[in-house]
Amino acid sequence: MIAKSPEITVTGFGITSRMESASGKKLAYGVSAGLDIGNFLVAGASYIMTKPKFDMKTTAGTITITNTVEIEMNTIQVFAGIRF
Amino acid sequence: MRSFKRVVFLMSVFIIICAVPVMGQFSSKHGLMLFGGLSIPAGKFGKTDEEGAGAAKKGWVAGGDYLVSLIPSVGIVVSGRYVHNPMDEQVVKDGFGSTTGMSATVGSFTGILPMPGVQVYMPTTIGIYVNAQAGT
Repeated sequence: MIAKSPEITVTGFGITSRMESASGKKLAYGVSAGLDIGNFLVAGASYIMTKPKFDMKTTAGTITITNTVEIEMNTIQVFAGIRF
Repeated sequence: MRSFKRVVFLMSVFIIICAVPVMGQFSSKHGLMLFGGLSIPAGKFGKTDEEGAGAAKKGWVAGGDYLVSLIPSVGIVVSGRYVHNPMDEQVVKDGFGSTTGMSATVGSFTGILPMPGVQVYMPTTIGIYVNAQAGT
């Protein structure tokens, strides 16, 4: 998975602190199951497991801090689609 | 009684004749699928109050896959997904407590998932499928 973390900006007392959006890459695994109607309509669900690592840079005024954080980004995806 | 057996036999033959082409038509499913739906955070990704919590909210997923049958009922599937889950803004705001004059804006977690895998399916008009995929 090629993932991006959210950008977070906090403002108060004349100071703005900003955590930049960071990119992370990690192997993702998924299992899916669904119903296929006539090789045309498809509805199903997937369970995706991954844990990318982000180097998050936070800046407040002239101070910059970088933290490395691993975030478990597991999702259940429920979808419908059309096969051509 | 004998004519009843003949009717049952003829009906069975008729059903088999009708069913075989349908079975044959879907014994090798293939093609491009475009899909969209909900992306629901699971485990720590959706939690807000523990170590490593992602504080992600429900989002959406869109993508496509291409299925090629290798043998009847088994195929190779290659999919690409774009996932978008907003972060819970309230978690950041709660960090300030009731401090006045503070404001926060938060973005979203996004991800691109290119994943090949193996798919097993029922070769029937209406059938269930399962697949397993992995990729970066």
